[in-house]
Amino acid sequence: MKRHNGSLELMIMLVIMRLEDAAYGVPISREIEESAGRAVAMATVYASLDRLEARGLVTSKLGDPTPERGGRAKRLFTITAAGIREVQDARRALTQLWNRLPQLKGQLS
Amino acid sequence: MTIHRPPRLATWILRRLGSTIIEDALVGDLFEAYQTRPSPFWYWRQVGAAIGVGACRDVWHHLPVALGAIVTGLFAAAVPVWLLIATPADSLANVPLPLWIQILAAWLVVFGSALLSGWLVSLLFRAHRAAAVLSLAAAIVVTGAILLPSAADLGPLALGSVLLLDALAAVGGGSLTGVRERTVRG
Repeated sequence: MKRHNGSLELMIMLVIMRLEDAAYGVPISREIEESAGRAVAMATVYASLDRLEARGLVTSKLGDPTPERGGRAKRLFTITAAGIREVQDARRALTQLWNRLPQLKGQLS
Repeated sequence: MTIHRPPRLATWILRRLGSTIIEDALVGDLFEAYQTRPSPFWYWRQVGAAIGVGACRDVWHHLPVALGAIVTGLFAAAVPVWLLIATPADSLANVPLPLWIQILAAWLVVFGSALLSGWLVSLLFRAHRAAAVLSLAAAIVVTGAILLPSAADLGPLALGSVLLLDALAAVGGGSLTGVRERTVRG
């Protein structure tokens, strides 16, 4: 059976797509904080990224160590083709459900 | 540019009790985020979340490790305490040492055994250290809360303090082994 993504995982995949080559822990959690208006622990983001990577929806590679990170490398994330399909499926499903709510019709931008 | 140094103790604990998801990249991310938000409270909260999230994931994915750590650790912690309890009181009365030293020695046995068991578990289950040590600490609190009230005449506050210190001793012991090599994909 196909496993569904949680809202945090979906948000993370969308943020990775938006950030393109600059998707790593700090900007991902900052974008989620700004968009969703809620603080999210860096470890929670990493746990979700770990799950997404295990399912083949994102991949990661290490960048170069930099002094502003205490000499530690960034782990840069990229969405895979399967990840993009997953995001599109989620959007389709959510739009369908949204449109079935007559009281919210017309509010979907 | 001024570099803000995050609390060293927090980073030290994170590196020692970090699970498989805690790797250099996360430590680096926290360091980088600390430059724009130099709040030790925020940093400690992130470290606490990282250890908690990592340990829960590790326990969930490696339940036998957690159970093995609990059995091994409780056995290692219980043997010295059991020997202490089993020692007849009259034989201790003949020890030519002041009473306060005997009480101190008894507490050293209790906390020392917890420290030792944390260290042992961390050594034996090094690959999933956080899950093993934190499972043991939780088991010490639960077992102590069940057994201690009948074995020792302690009030709720004293009992809570003893259990908290015992759990901290186990976590402290678990932090003493060296930092393992972290495997990073990519």
